Order: sequence, then structure tokens, then C-alpha cells
Amino acid sequence: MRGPVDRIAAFVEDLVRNRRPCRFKASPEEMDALGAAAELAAARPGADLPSADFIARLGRQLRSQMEPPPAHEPVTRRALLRTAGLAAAAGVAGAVIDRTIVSQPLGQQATLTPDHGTWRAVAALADVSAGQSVRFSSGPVEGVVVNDGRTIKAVSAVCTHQGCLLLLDAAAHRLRCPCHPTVFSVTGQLISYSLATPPANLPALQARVRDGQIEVLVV
Amino acid sequence: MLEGATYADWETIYNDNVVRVYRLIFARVGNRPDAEDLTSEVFVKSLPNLSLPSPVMQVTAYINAAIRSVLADHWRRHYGAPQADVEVDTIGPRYDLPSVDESGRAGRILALLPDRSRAILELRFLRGCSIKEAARELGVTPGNAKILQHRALLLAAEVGKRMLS
Repeated sequence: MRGPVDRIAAFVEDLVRNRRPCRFKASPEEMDALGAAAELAAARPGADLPSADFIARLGRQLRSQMEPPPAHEPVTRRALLRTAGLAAAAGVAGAVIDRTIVSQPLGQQATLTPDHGTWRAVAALADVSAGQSVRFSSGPVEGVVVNDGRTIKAVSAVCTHQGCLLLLDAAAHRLRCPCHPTVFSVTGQLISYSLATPPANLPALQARVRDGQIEVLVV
Repeated sequence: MLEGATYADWETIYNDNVVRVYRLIFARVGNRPDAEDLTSEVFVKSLPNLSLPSPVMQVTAYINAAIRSVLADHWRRHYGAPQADVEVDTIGPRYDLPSVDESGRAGRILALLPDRSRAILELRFLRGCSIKEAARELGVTPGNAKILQHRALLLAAEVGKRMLS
């Protein structure tokens, strides 16, 4: 039988590993220690931020509870974008955990080239150093520019599954969909998904550098 | 949000409150699985009971009451607590601050602890060291590191209570 020191140590170990902690009947003194441990666990940088995946998932659950959809009516793009916007607003893209990982061979990547496009500056080159990626929104185009150290690339940041706006997890070099646990690399390759069929890679956008500005060809 | 403002729909309520509710709950449970479950419970229980439009302050108070109730129930069910001490109203505003802020409550608690106590808690919670790694860093056995950690948490709880009083 474990004593208080071991019980609290096991509880702390679970918190440090961000796992659901062991349950036990705690004495008042142990309750104090558990409370202090929880508060300290929340002080770790970024630990207490909800993941974008969770915010989107709970939003969907509440929507089905509060607004039962009429039969045969698909979820609207607007609703999906609202959820994406909410998750983006929370600024928590870095906290998403990949869940169902399904590997697939890298597919082809299309390039979006508007017929009558114009070049529009979306970021300063100085703000996208080698190895970095930056999310941009330019009129109807949502995308990410990436500096791979040799060239500047741009890809669409709209999920190829249902059109949700993707969240940039810059630290992990990933784009994550807030609507379903789908993950793309910042260069647009599908990394993981939990859908019946794999969504297409993200289309590339044409990008160039002019006068220190990264420009993307948009409609 | 302006004084006198109202919430007209549940999505705005969710939008405005989900991060605050999660962070507040996380500070009381310290782990993601429980924080996600309890945050869900707060919204699933409270949103259907709100009659809209409602004043923002009234909705916030209702959600805070739901947080208090859900947390109390959590500690009672899983740890046998008779009555969880969760004062949401008095501590709510600090969740608008970044958790990494050195002037935050956890930082102030750590600053008031003896050196060894502060060191073990920083190693475990802020640097994510295992008990073995923390023991090695402090030059003690893993068994002694557990005892040091235990005493440090009790001291931290005491300091935290003094700061509230």
C-alpha cells in the first residue's frame, strides 16, 4: 500500500506527463498538495492553452446539441469557417495533438494559377527567415509562405476536405485542420488524417520576392 | 465587452469564454484530459439553460457557477473531497494574463519558497524533469527527491493560501 509521498509523487508524474492522473481518496493535507501541483502544472509555458482541435470538436458537439440540423442538410461552409475562425482566434495552434495517424504515399500537388491574377505582397521577406513559415490572408486567398533556406514557396491554407481554414503550427512546421484531425506539412503534403479517404495535398500558390516583399499571385 | 452588453447567441458565448474556462479549469486540475472533459461539461450543462439574450455579466456569473460546481464534483468523486475550495469569481481575472508571466501567482509562490523546495518544483513542473533527473540535479536519491517534492508542495499550498487571505 502506497503512502502519501508516493501517491502525491504518482499524481505529479501524471501531471508532468499531461496524463489523466491516478484517483485516490486524499486526506485534507494531500488535497492541498494536489491543488498546489495542479496550479504549478498550469504555470508551465503554454500548458494551460486548449488545443485548436479540442475547441473545434467541442464547438461541433455544442452545435449539434443546440442546433440539431434538419435531415439531409449538410454542414455549411460558413459554419465550418466559423469554427475555424474560433480556433484561430484562440491562438492555440501549437497545442494540437495528432491522433489517428494514417500514412500515405506523397501525392501530386496542384498549383493554383489564376487566369487574370495580380501579384500581391503578403509578408516582408525579413519576417520569414530560413526555416520559418508565416500564415497570410489576402482577400480571398488564405495561405502560408515558407522559406526553405533556398526558395520562397507558398501554399493554400484551405483544407482540401471541406474548406476549413487551416491553422499554422509554425514550431512543428505543420498546418492543422480545426474541423477534422487532418495535418499537412507547410509545403502542402498530407501528413495524417482520420477520414475515410485521404484529402488531396494543398495546392501550391505562385510566389516571388520583389523589393524585400514576398508576393503571391492572387485573383 | 462593454458593461450592459448582452449575449444574443450561444456561439458568441462559447467563443468568448472557452479559452478562459479551459485555463481556469486547467489551473485546478493540471492536466489536459481532465481539463477537456470538465470544460465540455461546463458548456454542455450551462448553455441549454441560458435564456438569450442575457446580460454578459449574468452569463459570466452563470458559467462561473457551473465551473465551480463541475470542479467541486470532480474533486469529490475522484479524491473524496468533502467540499472543493474553488473561488472562481475572485481569481477569474488573472486567467487573462499569460501563464508564463513571472509576476503570476505560481511564480510568486515559488519565489517565496526555500531554495531546495523551489528548485525541485521548478525542475518537475517548469522544466518537466523526471523524478530521477531532478534527484540527479539536486544531488539526492530519487526517494529523497520524492520527499522533498512532497514537502515543497505542502509549503507551496500554504504560501498560496496565505496569498489569498
